[in-house]
Amino acid sequence: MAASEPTRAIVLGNLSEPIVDMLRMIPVADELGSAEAEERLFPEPSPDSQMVEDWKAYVQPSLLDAFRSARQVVESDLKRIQNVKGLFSLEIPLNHADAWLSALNQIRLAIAATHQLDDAELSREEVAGAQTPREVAVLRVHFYGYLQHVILDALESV
Amino acid sequence: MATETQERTETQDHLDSIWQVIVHNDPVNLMGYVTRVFQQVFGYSKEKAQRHMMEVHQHGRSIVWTGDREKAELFVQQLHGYLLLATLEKI
Repeated sequence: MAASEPTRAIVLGNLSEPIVDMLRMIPVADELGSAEAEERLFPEPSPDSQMVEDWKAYVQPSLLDAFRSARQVVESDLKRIQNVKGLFSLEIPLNHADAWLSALNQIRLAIAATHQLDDAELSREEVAGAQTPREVAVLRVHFYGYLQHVILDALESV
Repeated sequence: MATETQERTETQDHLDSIWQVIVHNDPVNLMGYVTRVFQQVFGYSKEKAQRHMMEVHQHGRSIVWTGDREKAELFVQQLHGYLLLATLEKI
């Protein structure tokens, strides 16, 4: 995968089909609906039970909307993936960067929570081979993290 | 004497209303991302944001803001919007 960052968009080129499949899972992956993911995506703001109750009633719905909205932006960008002779390319407009960072964070947190990945798996420098569902989960967390780095670097250079 | 009592009461009332916003460590969030969030939410310089990020990373938590409850709640809401683990605590 090659990445280049023109002024107004991040272009990911020479993408293989498995990479595109992983990209397409960002807004719709099963892990986003797990109970463990919900617990992590909507943490309690305080040990105070009254505050937690109010938070769930008044704040959580707006967070849910914001997370969903970010995933919708990503989904719409993914629909514009180009296929030239079996190699794919994706353009991420820079004004969508925050939505991408949010969606990538949502999916990374959801995968880590659902599969209960440990610190060693999350801080691994290299991920070679992915045979088991757990190894695939680790690979996905790191791939999406790499993508976050690309987007953060592009935003830094603007 | 009456003035002193009144002043002490006012100081106590003021202290009662001071809250801290605390960000807790999370092994998933990238360090660069956390730094960017601190800059965006609090308007901190990159250096200050990085100091807080490193404190979270190395010590498990950082008090990123102190002030009144209403603003503290707003900041925690924003931090949750960026998917950071944040809580508010009364001093």
